[in-house]
Formats: sequence, C-alpha cells, structure tokens
Amino acid sequence: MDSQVFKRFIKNKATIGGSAILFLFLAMAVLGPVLCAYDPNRIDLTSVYQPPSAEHILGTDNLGRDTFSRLVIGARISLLVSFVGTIVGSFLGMILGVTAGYFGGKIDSVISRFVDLLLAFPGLLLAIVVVAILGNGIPNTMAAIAFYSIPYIARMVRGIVITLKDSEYVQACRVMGASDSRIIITHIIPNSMSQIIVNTTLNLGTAILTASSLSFLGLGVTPPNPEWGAMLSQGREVIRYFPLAAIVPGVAITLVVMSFSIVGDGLRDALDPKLKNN
Amino acid sequence: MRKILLEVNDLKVYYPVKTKGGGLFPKKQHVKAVDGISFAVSEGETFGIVGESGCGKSTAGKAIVKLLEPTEGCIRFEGRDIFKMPKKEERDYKKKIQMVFQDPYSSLDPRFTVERIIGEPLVVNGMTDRKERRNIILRLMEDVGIRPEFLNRYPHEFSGGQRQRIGVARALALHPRLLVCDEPVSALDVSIQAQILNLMKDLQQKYNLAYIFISHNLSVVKHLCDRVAVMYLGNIVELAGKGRLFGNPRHPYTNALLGAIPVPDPEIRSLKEPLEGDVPSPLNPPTGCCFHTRCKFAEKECLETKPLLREIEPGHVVACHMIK
Repeated sequence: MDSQVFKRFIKNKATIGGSAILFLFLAMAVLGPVLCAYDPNRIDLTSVYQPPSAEHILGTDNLGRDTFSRLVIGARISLLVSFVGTIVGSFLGMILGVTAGYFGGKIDSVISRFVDLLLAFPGLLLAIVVVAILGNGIPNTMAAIAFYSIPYIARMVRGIVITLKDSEYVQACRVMGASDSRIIITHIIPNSMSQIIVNTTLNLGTAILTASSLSFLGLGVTPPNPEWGAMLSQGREVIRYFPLAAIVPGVAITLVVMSFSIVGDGLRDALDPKLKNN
Repeated sequence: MRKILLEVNDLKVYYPVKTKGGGLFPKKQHVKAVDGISFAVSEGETFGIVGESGCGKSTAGKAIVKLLEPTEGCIRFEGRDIFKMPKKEERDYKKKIQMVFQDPYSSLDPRFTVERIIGEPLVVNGMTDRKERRNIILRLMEDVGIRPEFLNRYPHEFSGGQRQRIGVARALALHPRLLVCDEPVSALDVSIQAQILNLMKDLQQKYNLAYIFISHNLSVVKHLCDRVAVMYLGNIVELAGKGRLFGNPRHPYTNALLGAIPVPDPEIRSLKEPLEGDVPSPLNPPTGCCFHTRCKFAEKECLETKPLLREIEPGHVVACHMIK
C-alpha cells in the first residue's frame, strides 16, 4: 500500500521539482557552517554592497557581510522556526480536534468556540499578538507559529473525527469492548493522519512566510541573526540602488514556500487519490 | 424448550431532535425510533426482524449490543440486565454478543491487515500472545472460507463477499453466543448473498450460535430465520414462527409486505393491492394503532387505542384490533 503511495508521489513531475528544491534548502540548512566561507555576522566595512564575485557568490550587504553565508545560516533559522512551530501547532491542533470531534457535546462546544476565536483573527495578527505578549526571539517566534496553525488543524481534524467515529469499524470496535483511548489511538488517529500530514506540509510554507513577515516587521528573530525576513527587510531599504540584497532572500522565501505548497498538493494526491478532482 | 438467551422487554429508544421554529428556545422533540418492543431469543435460534427502512430495526439491534442507551425498558441476557451491569460483567457480556455490520466496505479499517482485523477483538480482550492469536485467526479464516495466504492483505484487496466473511470471522473471534446481524447481505450481489447466508447457517451449527437477523429482505429472512418479528414505526406488529408468518399472515401490514415480494414471472399480476401513502414521521406518530393511517380496515377503535400484542395461536402474536 505504501509503495503505491510512493509511486503516485513520484509520478508527478511538479512534486519531484518541489521536493528537489526543498531537499536543496534542507541540505543547505543541515550542512550550514560547512558551506559558508565567512561568518555570517562578520562585519567588513571595506567591502559593502559588493556585486556577486568569486569571493562572494551572492555579493555582500550594507555591512559587508557575505550574503550567501547569511542565506545558508538563515535557512537554518527559517526552516527550524517553521518546522518546530508547525509541528508543535499541528500536534496540539490534532489533540484539540480529536478531543472535540470524538467526545462531542460540551467539550466540543468549548474547544470549537476557542478555535473559532483563534480563527477570527487574521493569522499574521494572531502571530503578532503572541510575539507582543511573549517578546521576540527564536523560541517565541516558534510559539507564535504554533499558535497560528492550531485552529486550522484542529478544525480539520474535528471534521474528520466526527465522520470516523460513526464509521462501522469504530462501532465494531466498541462492540468488542475496546476503550475510547484504544479506539482513538488505533483507529481514529491513523485514519486521519494522511490529511494531517498534507495540511501540515501546506502549513509549513505559510509558516515560513509568517516567520519571515514577523522578522520583516522586526518582531520575530532578532538581529544580527540572519533570518530571511530580516534580510529582506534590510534589503528593502536599499532596493533602489542595490536590489540584490532584497532579491536573494525574496527568491529564497518564494522558492521554499512554493515548494512546500507543491509538495503538499502532491502528497495529498498520492495519499488520497479520491480527493484529486475536487 | 430451549433456554432463553436474550430477553427484550418494552424497549424504547428515543432520539432527541431540535425542530425548526420556536425561536431562541426550540422545543425539544423526540424521534421515537423504537417505541416499546418485546421479544425473546433462545439459544441457537435465528430470530428475524423485518420492516421497511426507518422502522427502528437497526436501532433495536444497536441497543442490544450496547451501542445505544435505551430511553426505557430493559434487555436481559441470561437473566441479567445488560444496562445495569458492573464493568467487569459488561466485558463478559461483550464477549458473548457480537455484531455483523451491513456495509462490508466501511466495517473494516482500511489500514488494518486481515490478521489485525480478525485479531482485534482478541487483543482488546487481553490475548497478548501473538502465536496463540495467530492460530485462532487462521482457524477462523478457515471457518469462513478465507485462504490463509491472505493473512497480511488489506481489505481493499478483497471483494465485498470476502470482506463480509472477514467481518463474520471478526465477530466470531470471541466465541459469542449471539450475533446481531444488521442487514449483513443487503450490500452484496445476489449471487454472493446466498453464499454468505449458507456460511452463516453452517457457522450457526458449528458454534451453536443464536442470530438476531435484521433485514428488509423477506426472502432472505424466510431462508434463514426460525421466528420473525415484523416492525412498523418502532413497534412490533406481528411475531410468529416462519411457517405461520409467511403461510398465514394476519396483520394487514404483514400482508402488504408479503404482497410486495416480487414474483419472478411477468405473467403473474400480484393479487394484493399495494399499500398507499407514506410511513408517518416517527417524530409525531399517529395515535392509537401506528398503522391506521394506511390500513384499509381501520375503524374508530384503531384511531383511539394502541393495540397490544395478543396471542392468537400458540407462538403467533399480532397487534391489531380487527383480528378477533
């Protein structure tokens, strides 16, 4: 069964492209310091605003820091923040969604109203609120992203669980005397997993965008850490006479977000071929 | 006389519903899915429940396996009330009573292999030894006619009939005394239906099983059941042995149902007139006899008082004022 999923996944050309790009960025993030010829935070005022050259592949920024090194280390921060944030958020959202959907009644009302409350805020605003309360920095940005992805996952999982819990195989399980926790762990969660994975992947792209937006606004990762959004923000100031400073992080963000989106779609098609035409 | 296994006494299951209107505080109403039914099932017997969709037959079945709480009434299994059992006894009860579901496609978890599906009731009930479990599973697979090579296959690799066999094997894993079969063959092709029904007959002898067989298909019920109850709008209107019910039906509704069995000959016109009108809403069932709105024999008495089940011959009970 799983080999079929894999076959369907690699049949799609766009998905392979997206995965390749993601793999490239991931490799960059993992290898990190090995790839960098320079310390990303080393200031060299004798060589500011350098165009790409053999020495600096992607040039240097306003303080003479090597853009490529900053991009590589920035990939670490951006990807880490969005991965940890999204996965924590998905996990919490899944717990909320399963509890609400499975037990129903008052529990469901309380959780669903809480989720509605979170959904009522535009996503980025919610993240800004969290950062405003907790202060900025890498862990708090992760928390903001987690908070931001909870309601979407929770609502989706709740919907799936409501249909699953009335399915005949869950009823059969109840007839044989299984406990609620057993039913949830062996039937409900595994059967909603594929959709959770797909949505988490799709959320990862948005999470990178959110993390970058927060940093762009000066709320996320603090300088001098080379976060992509922060780099973009710095580049924006000089976009008229040195556009490269904004183009490099901008292209990186676009590529990664787009790839996550493509891979997410590909995963959905591979895991659940029935959904494809909807 | 065989020992009585299960006794259902004045069982009522009402579903609460909110109706439209009433503004901020809608009036709570109840769908009377099952409105006071009583019957008993003996050891090794096949008891059929027939009726059209929405008559409450599946709800009754679900109450028996404790998937639903009844509003009123009680169900006794071997003399003990199943809704007032302590936890430990309840576990025991659930081993003795199992269910076979209607849809063989949704009653098996698509992510489980055959081994896990059939073995699940054993695991749930604390049989942790893998080898011992596998032996039981293989024996069950042989009993229901699934080849042992299929142990590690997934449900989607099987046909509907094979899936239903797997469902039956799962239900048998705990050696139950009574199987509640909720339309077990109505989702299958006619050619496969017969196979499954014969399988169930064979298993009944082998395991000394009692069946409660819920169906809307009268020919299936005729083939399999010893006694049959006819339900209409949450009530049993007639209950008799198979021979009597099919040979000498007394209640006008039973008559109409039997008249609706298609005869496989285009030359023969059915002599019986079809029923007119629709089933009334169980939200607001008619007063008196629930069938009076569609009964051509209905008189004043039928509109006013609800007829009780009366024995007109030994083992043949009917709820109708017009039968003296």
